[in-house]
Amino acid sequence: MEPVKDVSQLVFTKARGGRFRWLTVSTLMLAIGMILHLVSPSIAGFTPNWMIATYCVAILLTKPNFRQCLGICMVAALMEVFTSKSAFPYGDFASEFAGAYVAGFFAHKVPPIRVGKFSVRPMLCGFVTTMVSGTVFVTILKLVMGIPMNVFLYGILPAVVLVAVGNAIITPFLYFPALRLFESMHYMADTEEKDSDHGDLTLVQQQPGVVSVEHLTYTYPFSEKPALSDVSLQIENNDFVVVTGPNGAGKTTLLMSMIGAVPHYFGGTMNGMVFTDGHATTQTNIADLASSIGVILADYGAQIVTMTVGEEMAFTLENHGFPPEEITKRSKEALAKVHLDGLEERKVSTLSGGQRQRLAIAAVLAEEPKVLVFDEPTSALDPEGISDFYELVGRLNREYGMTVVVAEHHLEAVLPYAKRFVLLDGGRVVSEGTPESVMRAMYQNHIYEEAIPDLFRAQLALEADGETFDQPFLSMDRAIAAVKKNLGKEEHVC
Amino acid sequence: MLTLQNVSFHYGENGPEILQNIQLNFGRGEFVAVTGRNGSGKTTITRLLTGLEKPTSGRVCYNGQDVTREDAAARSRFIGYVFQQPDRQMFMSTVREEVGFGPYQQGKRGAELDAVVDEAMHKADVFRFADEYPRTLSRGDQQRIAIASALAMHTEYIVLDEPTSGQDGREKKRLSALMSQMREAGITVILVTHDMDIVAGQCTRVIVIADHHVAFDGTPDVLFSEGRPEEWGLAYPASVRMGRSLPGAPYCKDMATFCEMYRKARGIG
Repeated sequence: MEPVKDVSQLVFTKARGGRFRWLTVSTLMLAIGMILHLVSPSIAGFTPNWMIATYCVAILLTKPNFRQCLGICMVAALMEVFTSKSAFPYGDFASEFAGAYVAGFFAHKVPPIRVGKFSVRPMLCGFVTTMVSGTVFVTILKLVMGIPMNVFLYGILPAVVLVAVGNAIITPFLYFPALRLFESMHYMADTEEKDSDHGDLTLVQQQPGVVSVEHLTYTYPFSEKPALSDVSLQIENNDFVVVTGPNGAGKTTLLMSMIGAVPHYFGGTMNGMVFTDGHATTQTNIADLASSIGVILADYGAQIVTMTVGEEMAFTLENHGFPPEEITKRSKEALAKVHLDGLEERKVSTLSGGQRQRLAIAAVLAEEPKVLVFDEPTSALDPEGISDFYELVGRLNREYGMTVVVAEHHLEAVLPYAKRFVLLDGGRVVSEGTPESVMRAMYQNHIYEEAIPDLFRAQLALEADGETFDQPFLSMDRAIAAVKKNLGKEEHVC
Repeated sequence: MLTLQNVSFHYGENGPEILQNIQLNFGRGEFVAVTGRNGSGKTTITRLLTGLEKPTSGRVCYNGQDVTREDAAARSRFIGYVFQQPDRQMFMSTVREEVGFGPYQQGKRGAELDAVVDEAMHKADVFRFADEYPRTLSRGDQQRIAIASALAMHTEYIVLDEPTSGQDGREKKRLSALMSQMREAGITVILVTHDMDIVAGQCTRVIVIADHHVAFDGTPDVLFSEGRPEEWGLAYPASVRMGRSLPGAPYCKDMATFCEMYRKARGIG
């Protein structure tokens, strides 16, 4: 396999939603089919076969593979058998077995043949699937019940045709509204394109660093403008990087691309590549990346899913398959790091907001990732909470060697600990480097100046008056020392 | 004049005392900060003022009238409330309807209602969102919609709960400007906040709640020069600390004042 030479030429597209979209949509459609099947009116004894119609719609909408089609149709068959009024309903298993393949064939191999504005595929699919399924069913019925041939040929088969016609009519009536609904919920891909699969590419990280973002351009599904444009960034081991910028600049998107949520969870179109701990994010799923990189979201409460502290710590580790002794050991260590030791029995509902945030951090630390990612962690904290939070994160960075990436507006709070700043605006990296150099760039280029801490901004304003200071106003102590030095000089002269 | 007279409060039958014997008056046109540690009871004070909680003992009086028994809907005629998470108080499908809800309940209809709503939306700079669904807007915009709702009811007092926490600098400046505007219109702004920069820079009065009591009630400069803010869980604003490094240690309510004092001390500008 040739290693990919130019990463910026790579494209990865995916519809939004996980791998189980087909399952949720089919379940919904089959449930609707069941209800319709039970309440359906009949004309002269003929009713359309609602179960076939709804599974056709489910398969056309989600395009599952043939094994998944079979699964859907076997469930449909089971539901039909349980509610059937037929003499020998078990033929449904065989008939829907055939139906699965026919519907799958229509979903994958038949293009949406259009007449005017509408695709006639749902109608054809409904007709043909019902014909095949119905024919199989009545043939089995004939064989089992010993129905005479002429009754079969002149009575039963035409009835199948009539039901098939009925289905041809109702399937579009179910399909198009469902399609509209799912499109408006952003559940459908815009085009008929298949999701990309980079599984057989050899991708090699070009730039060093524990996280390397290389020429990343990303557009959310149904968006016109890219959220990130040609972003390249390297995060070294043990770095403490602060990503800042106005709302909508792409900070959260950038962080999500490091953990693999972009593109796997959000879908959309991704150009370029992100390497986390050596793995290309398009080739590795989110769960596997989680052992290298952990994320704490702004709404940390949403990440906590169990009732007690101990259970929360065990949850992810159990999902990774660790043995019980390992789980207990890692839980203890992680809780100790965040100063929540001994609280395994405590109910999460009795913890304060700050403690819950630390619990989310501990749960992530238990997997022993190399990199910690925080998305606007201080938005719900009071000043004491903010300083306690960054004191903890600073300690994780300095004492435990963790690499930290934070998206933050509150630059004063993070200044004492940050090693590097990255300024994003409109999806591009505008400036990156030491905190001081980036803040000066913000001031000079008038980009997101309002985030510059008041203290540093005062220095910049005074420098515009011609003053110079021997240290940057990055902390209160340094600012006071620099001011006193300048005034000390003055007093000396006088 | 809005007063809390000897108000005490605890949750439930045997809950711990949150507030004990609180005595506070709020006049017209003030810009008051109510502050203290998380859990000190500062939000509880505002909930008692608006009627979302009733005191366990003591009275709430408005212009001499005892309104303790009145619930929040009744008190909305003179006091409005903006939640820290404003989307928790929005429930109509458009901004116009949201802002119009209060005046409608007050009995306004037709052209009079539209006029009041339009005026309030313009003042809070949310007119361009008039037909949008409030919950799709940013937190800063939602806050201003909540403020517009209170303005539309011509309330005399408005309580804002931590409006600047988690906001970026641009939103903070817009909110500060809007709060000043409201003061100029004669509305009393009661701000529950941790943001000491706003307290020092803009507030006319600070109330500190600590140990279930009013630990301080006075002007910000006195709080930061003679009070004990660290004991009460408060930080000194940067401008105040910087001011102390200058000869004469002048009180600097914001960084602009500090820069001025510095230039004076250096003989420049």
